[in-house]
Amino acid sequence: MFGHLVMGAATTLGDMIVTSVSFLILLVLLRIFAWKPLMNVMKQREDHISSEIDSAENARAEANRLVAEQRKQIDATRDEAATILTNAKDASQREHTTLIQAAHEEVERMKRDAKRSIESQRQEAMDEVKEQVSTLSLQIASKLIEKNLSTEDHNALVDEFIEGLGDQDEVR
Amino acid sequence: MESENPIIQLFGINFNVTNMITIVAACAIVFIIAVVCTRNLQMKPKGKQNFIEFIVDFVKGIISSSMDWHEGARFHMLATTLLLFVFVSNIMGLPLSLMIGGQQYWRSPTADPMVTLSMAFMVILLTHYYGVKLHGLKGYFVNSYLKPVPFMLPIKVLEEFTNTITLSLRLYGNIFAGEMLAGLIASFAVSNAVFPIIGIPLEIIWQGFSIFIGAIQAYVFTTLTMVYMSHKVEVE
Repeated sequence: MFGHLVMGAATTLGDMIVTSVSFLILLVLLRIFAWKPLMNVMKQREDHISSEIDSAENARAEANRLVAEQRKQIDATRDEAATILTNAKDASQREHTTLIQAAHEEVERMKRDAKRSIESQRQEAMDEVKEQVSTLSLQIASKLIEKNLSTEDHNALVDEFIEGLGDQDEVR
Repeated sequence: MESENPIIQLFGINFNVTNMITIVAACAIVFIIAVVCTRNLQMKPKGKQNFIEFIVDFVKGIISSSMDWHEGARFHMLATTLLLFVFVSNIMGLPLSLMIGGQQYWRSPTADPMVTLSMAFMVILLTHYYGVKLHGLKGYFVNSYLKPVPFMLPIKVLEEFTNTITLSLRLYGNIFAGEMLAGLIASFAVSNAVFPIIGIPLEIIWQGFSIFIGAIQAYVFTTLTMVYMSHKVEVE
């Protein structure tokens, strides 16, 4: 084995050439057939992973933003609902008061109308009674004058008249 | 256990046929492993792709421990190929050692000092090449030999030679010794009818240990290459 080193003549140069050239050819072949595809895939994966991380971060930020927005919106809605409720309560209260007042007024008015109407009807009735009384008086007077009546007849007549008066009153 | 290597003469240069066969075979095995592992590449790796990506990441770790990744990235492929090639070369001789007529045709290529010396020479040459390429001739010289203190210049120059020799002989020694012992155990096992009972388990144990040594030596070779590279490439 050490014969090479000692004598030198043997295969030193040939060995160096074979080793170096073979190794360099191996380097070139590996670079073409194995290294480049492998590096491409590893690079692709690296890019893919980093882009995935980026997109995940973006998605999370987006989600946080949306949650905040939704929360704000819910708060706003809740405030709005509360306002509407308060307003509705006020309105109904007002309505209630107004209605009761209106009813009171209506009742008052109706009472007044009724009173007035009663009054006017009573007046009318009185007027009519007066008129009838005067008419009857005139008739009685004319009858008394037309006939000479006995006292008994006269009394009976008066009674009859009064009775008739009562009947007329009832008719009213 | 001394063996002859068949020699062939081409263009006036002597070639060691054993080394030609084993080195080409090692290259072919590494190439086949790499190509098989990088078929059907997917974003979600599984099986073979996981294996090759583990190796690539492992080499990345080796480089990162000796220099800045920004500068070391360019040596990523070189170091990966070195690791695979040296490891395959180290364990090639374990399952089979072929000798025909006293001439050896199959063994670990790294069990030959000339092969490991060539490898070491090549990578040391590469460190100088990258030193010049990145810093210019003057910058390379100043950065490599005059810093941090100029009086270290002789030691630094000497270091280039010792680095080459230690890098190669460490690998050669480990693998050659492993194969030598494996061969001794094998010849011991077949020397007697009873000995295989002891010899075969012993051989299995030694082969398992040699795989471990082969992996360690491949790792060491790659790591030291990157360390030497960082001396030339990084500005101190």
